[in-house]
Amino acid sequence: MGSEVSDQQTLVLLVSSGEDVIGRVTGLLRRRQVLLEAISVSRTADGANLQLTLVIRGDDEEAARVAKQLDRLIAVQHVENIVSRPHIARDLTLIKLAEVGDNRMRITDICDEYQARVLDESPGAMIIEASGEVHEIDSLTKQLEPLGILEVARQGPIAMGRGERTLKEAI
Amino acid sequence: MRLTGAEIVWECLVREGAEVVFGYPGGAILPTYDAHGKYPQVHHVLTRHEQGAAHMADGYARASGKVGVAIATSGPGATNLVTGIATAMMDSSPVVFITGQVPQPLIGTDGFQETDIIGITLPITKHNVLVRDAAELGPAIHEAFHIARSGRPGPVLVDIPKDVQLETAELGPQPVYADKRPAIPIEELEHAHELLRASERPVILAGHGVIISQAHTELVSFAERLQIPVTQTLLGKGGFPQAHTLSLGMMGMHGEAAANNAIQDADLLLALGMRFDDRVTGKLAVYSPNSKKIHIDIDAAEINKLIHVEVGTVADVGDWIRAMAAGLEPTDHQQWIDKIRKWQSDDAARDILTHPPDPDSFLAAHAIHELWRSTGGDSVSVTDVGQHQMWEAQYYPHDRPGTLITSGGMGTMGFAVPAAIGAKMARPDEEVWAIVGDGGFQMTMPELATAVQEGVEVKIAIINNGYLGMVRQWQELFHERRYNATPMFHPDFRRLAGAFGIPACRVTERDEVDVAVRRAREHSGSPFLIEFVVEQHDVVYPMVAAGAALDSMIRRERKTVQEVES
Repeated sequence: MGSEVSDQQTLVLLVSSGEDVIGRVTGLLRRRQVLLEAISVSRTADGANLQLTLVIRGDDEEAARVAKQLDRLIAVQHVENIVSRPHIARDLTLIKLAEVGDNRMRITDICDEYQARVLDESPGAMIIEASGEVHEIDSLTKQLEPLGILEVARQGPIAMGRGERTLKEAI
Repeated sequence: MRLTGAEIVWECLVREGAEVVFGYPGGAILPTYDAHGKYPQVHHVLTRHEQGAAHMADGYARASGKVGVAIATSGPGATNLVTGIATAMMDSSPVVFITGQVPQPLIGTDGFQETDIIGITLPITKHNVLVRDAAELGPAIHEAFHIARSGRPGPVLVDIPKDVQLETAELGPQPVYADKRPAIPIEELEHAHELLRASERPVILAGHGVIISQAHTELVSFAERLQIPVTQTLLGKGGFPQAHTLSLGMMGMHGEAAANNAIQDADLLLALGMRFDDRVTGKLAVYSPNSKKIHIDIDAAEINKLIHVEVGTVADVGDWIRAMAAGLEPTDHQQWIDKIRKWQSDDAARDILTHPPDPDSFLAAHAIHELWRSTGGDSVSVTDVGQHQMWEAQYYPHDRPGTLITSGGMGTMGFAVPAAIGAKMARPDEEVWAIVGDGGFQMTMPELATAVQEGVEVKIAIINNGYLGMVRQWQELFHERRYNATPMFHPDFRRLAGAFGIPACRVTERDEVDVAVRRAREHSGSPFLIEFVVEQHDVVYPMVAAGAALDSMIRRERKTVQEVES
């Protein structure tokens, strides 16, 4: 149930949490001319490693080449193109909207449709939060656009394979 | 065992079997140099520039098969290593680089002689690490050696802040690393068997991996049993005896025409430990268009990187050949070999020896070929980069592994002299020749002083054509003979050598080569230098222009006998 469009691939990496590890990964992508669309990083539950989700431009052959290059890095313990198997990918976004005024009803409707929440209402602006598949966030943003978006922050997707198998087991 | 960080460095080097290290001291690495006094079993070679230390360690590694070691201080010491590190990276040479770093409280403050050598060398090392605690230093150095020599070898840099060298820590035992060789999937072997059986026009492309995995003997029996001709990459030379009837010599931009034709006409390429560099493939879209491809490499990232292959197996080349050899029926490709023989007989590159364009001319190829003849062809060549490097590859046949050391992937001018010093120190019983152009020689010639100080009996052959010859060649062929910035002044090389206390001679005629080489061979106790003053405007043929198809070669114009005689 990959939500990505066909020219994007999602690589999930388990890497040692040493120094420069993000620099090692992104530096490799830069010098191999790989277009990085999104990156998200978090510490694994045991605290020992980092988990990275990279969205890159390219077909699955390009993703395989990139994965093998990444795998050469000593810090990278495992890398896989998650698009090639059943998985779930979720993106998180914060959207700041201008002067709500007459649009409140319309905004509330859209928020309901996308299960988005209002996090903050300050004079002149409000911030809503939404999470979901990449294309859902895309279309939410599109719907809100005419209502006056001031700023969008997007985390970039995080992804996980379905079923029992974990990244750690894949090493 | 409680030691200072500096002592840990040497202790680990001793444990790893490092007998010689190349380096240059400075402030941030001074504690390590200070501790060297306690470890006289490791010989330190003081170079004249850190680049020299890097190339020497690289040459030492390639000549010995062991891990080379180079040491430098922080800042400019570390950055001066960079070209040498990149050279080792491109050619998969196992070298451990140890750099001093400013004390940790100064890191990130633009301290004196501070540079982010970890950041700088990220793209050109197999791995690098900044050690922040003396307790982590021992494991870091042992791991550096392990990473450098395992799998596809490569350079590893260990950056050690001065305070870490000074503090003390407990040094644990040397870790034991498992030899993790990839297992070869049986179905991939079977598929390869199948393709080999079906092939009528197979060619083996033998690369550096054959030499690194010490698979040369296996390769000979494999090729003989299946009667498959073998062509080599530049770094693969020596991995298959050139004198062998199945040898096609070098492939690629300046390869043998017959080898390139065979690749283009083949129905099966068996690529062993090579990586389809643009200098060996020419235009990818038309590369060996009708062949199926089997690619064996220890580095998974090389499989399907540039060339789509039917079988791509991640394996040590030697392991793969041994696994394949079981159940291998002999085959015969006589028709194919006959066809290749015809191409070989029409190989204009060879004509230079018997029919030079001008009978009185003294060409670089003559000098190099005569050098081969005079040394009995059994010495170690360390070449620099440019025309002389290609002529060496064409006119100096190599029959055993480890007899050609050259900067292939990086194409680093200035490599030959220091790398030859390192190679000679690794193999003192062998005759080692640095073959170098007048341009490349001038890049790293201060290392002559290192060779003299160490009493290294390296022979140096300068192929002097008064130009940056390969650049001049491209200007001649592709830039309408606008020789911008390629004519080059050079010092009087004999007097220069004299200033270093090195005996030297100059050769200007083809028939003088043998006498000069004999003098060089008889000399002992120090380096010996020969300057070969050769034809200035010669061109390396055949040549596949960059981006052209592999079989569209520019060939040397053939002169008729009448033209030559008139």
